[in-house]
Amino acid sequence: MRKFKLENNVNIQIIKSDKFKTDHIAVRYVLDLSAKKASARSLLAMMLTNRTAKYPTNKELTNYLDMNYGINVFMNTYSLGGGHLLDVRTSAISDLYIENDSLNKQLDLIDEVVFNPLVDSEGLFDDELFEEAKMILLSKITRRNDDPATYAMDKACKLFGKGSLFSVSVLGSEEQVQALTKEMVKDAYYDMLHKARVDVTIISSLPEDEVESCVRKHKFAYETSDNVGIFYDYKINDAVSEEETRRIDQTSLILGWYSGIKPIDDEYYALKLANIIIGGDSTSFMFQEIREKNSLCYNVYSSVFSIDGFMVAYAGISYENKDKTAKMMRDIIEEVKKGEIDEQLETAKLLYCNSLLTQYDSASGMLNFEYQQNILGLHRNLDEVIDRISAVTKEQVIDVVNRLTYLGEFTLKEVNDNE
Amino acid sequence: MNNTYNEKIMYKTLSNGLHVILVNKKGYTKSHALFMTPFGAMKNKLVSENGDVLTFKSGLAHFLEHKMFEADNGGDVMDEFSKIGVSANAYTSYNETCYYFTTSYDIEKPLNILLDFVQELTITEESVEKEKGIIVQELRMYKQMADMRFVQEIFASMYEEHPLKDDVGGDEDSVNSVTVDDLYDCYRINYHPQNMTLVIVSGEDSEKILKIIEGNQDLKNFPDVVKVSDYDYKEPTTVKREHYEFKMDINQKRYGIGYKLNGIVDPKVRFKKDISLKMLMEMYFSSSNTLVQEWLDERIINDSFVYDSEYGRDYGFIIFASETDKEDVLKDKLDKAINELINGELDEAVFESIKRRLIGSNIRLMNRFEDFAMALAKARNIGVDFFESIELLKDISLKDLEEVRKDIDLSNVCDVILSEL
Repeated sequence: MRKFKLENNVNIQIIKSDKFKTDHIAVRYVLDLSAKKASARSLLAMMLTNRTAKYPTNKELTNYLDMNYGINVFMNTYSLGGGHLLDVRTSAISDLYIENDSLNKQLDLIDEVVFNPLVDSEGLFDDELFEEAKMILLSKITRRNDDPATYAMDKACKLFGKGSLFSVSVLGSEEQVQALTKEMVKDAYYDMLHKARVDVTIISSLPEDEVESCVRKHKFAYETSDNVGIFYDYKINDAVSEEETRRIDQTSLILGWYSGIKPIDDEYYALKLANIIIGGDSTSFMFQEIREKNSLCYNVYSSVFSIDGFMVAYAGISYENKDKTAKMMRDIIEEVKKGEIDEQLETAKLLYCNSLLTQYDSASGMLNFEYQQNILGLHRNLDEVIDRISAVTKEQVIDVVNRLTYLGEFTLKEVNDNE
Repeated sequence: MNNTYNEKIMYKTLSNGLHVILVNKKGYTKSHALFMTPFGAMKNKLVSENGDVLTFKSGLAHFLEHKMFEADNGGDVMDEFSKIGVSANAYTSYNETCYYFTTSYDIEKPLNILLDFVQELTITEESVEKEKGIIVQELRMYKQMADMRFVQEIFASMYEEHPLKDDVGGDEDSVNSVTVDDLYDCYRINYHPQNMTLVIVSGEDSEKILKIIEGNQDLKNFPDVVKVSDYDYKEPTTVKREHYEFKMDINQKRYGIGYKLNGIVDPKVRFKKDISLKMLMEMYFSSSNTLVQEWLDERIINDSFVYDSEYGRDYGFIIFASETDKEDVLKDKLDKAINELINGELDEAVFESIKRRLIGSNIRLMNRFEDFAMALAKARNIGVDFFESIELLKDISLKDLEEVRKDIDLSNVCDVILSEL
């Protein structure tokens, strides 16, 4: 593995591996998350990989990718705690299997997508492309709302994170998307190439020297910033309880807690293990108690938002069982605090380590693990992380569960046609 | 060893009839094991050797999948996997039921657990009753997912008798009527080793894995296999409902159309025609064509536009679905486009680019243990070797596409509209 910086401070990481059939590049731009700018950045990501100046229609770009045995190019946006991640990914069949000059084609494609967008002489994006992307972004927002479980989780995050960045959606709201102008997207594009922290990770079967020499011919951004923060302050409010009704077949119940623990803290792995014990696996207390013993649901889980420090628990139930299920969830947290979790903790450690090892055996898992270490400034390898997980004690798990502050519950209630 | 793709594969049929496929992936830590029976929701009727029709309740294959995880002490097999840090799961589709695990630890223990729990059913009346509540909630979860429900309604419009008309999990009534005896009967007929395939894609040595499997299987005795054959559903060529509308609590209307086609009995012919039809669909409805872009420009569809086609032994279909407010316009456009697909000129350059994309996609699939194992098992089920299928794909010509479209009859068509409440 090799790490270095380009002159413009873009961080480069090269991983040599010949076990995959494909070579991969991930270029990550991180900016401060902002409710005002979120929609413009999501729109930008959709436009950059749809067509370019060299490939001015989606058909032309698709034909180029297809003729090269299906080079993949995607750009997605995610929240990364208080950061907004614009994530460009490419992959192509390795030269080991098809003579394709895979690495250079991907680097050139990233140049094309990032530096050669379909804009006019004033740098404003093509009209048709802009209007189409706006329509699609609006559809994505509507679609999220049409799915009851996703809608409920979005609402719960807004409720629990009120007043903080946890409540910000990277897609933005319908009103924000409607109000977008081409100038706003031009600004977002400028920010991406001038104000972001930029990390590039490459997995290739080629020797590292050769990859480095290819990469150094590219710049990925004009300027970069090291002042992008992904952690943010959160003020805990009084616990809340909200309920909405829809004509659906199942009630979504979501409870929330705040831990205040960040992935750079020593207690982080204890929090992740606590989550597995509480509701992160089929052996967890929530799965066993709520689904297996009481047959109240099919889907029940708890989950940690790693960078934000929140934990949520979800169950898809009949509304008549709402109070019973919510009480069970809260009781389980109290039960874990009592500390009779020796067996569960050992299981959780094995499961967590297995999941990390398994993920690292895929290109996307490897890219994600390495990026997380880089952006957090931890630079731990997989063995170090596994050692830290294995060393977590029962007392540490109890301590983090005691630090969970209950934030409240959100219910999306089912109403049948008969009601 | 398959030299073209550097994959080391071993095929073996054990003395009890179990088909084993082992892939040794050099440089990897993890292992993925998939244990498959070709019994899915589509086989709710089978024919015994003496000609009797064996009928299974709708959703029974899926119910059985749930109950397979019950351990002989009444516990849960998932616990046994979790205790050794292994993630395991299962799913039921129309064509098969699969049990699988992924581990980066030694494969011996989880492999023995997998073989043992799938090869023995131990259930009680009490545990079957308890499972009903869980499955009913699962059905409700899927029922309120608009896109899944919508596609299901297109199939329900197309088919009168064929099990594709039903949800894989059945409905609440069929689930609530399941008995212990139903499950045992179903298990006895469909889970004999002779009917099943075990695929393992692993960084571990294949010889070592084979010894574990043989060691496990040598200790077990199985009754004689119950010989059954596929049931021929009396499915009319016409669709059940030409037009159907329903409402859900959603914000965006959806329109879908389904063309009912005849099935193809011969598996090799079917495989080639299935790929040929899929390529035709890609040529017309992917971004390789300007058609979809034009519909986007005219705001007739959005990014939700999907299309699919499939030939089975006793069924075939082409379907389209999209969110839209302009269902009449979309219907007209789709009608013209599909007729163009049947009668229009085929562009050789587009054909070549799509062929390359699909070849690339098959090579990529070998990176993903889960998908690779599934592709190997499915290929075995239909009697076509996975690597042979890539060569078949390479050999497909425009003439094959011409051939497949000659047989397509578009007269059996239905459409479905999902509107806001």
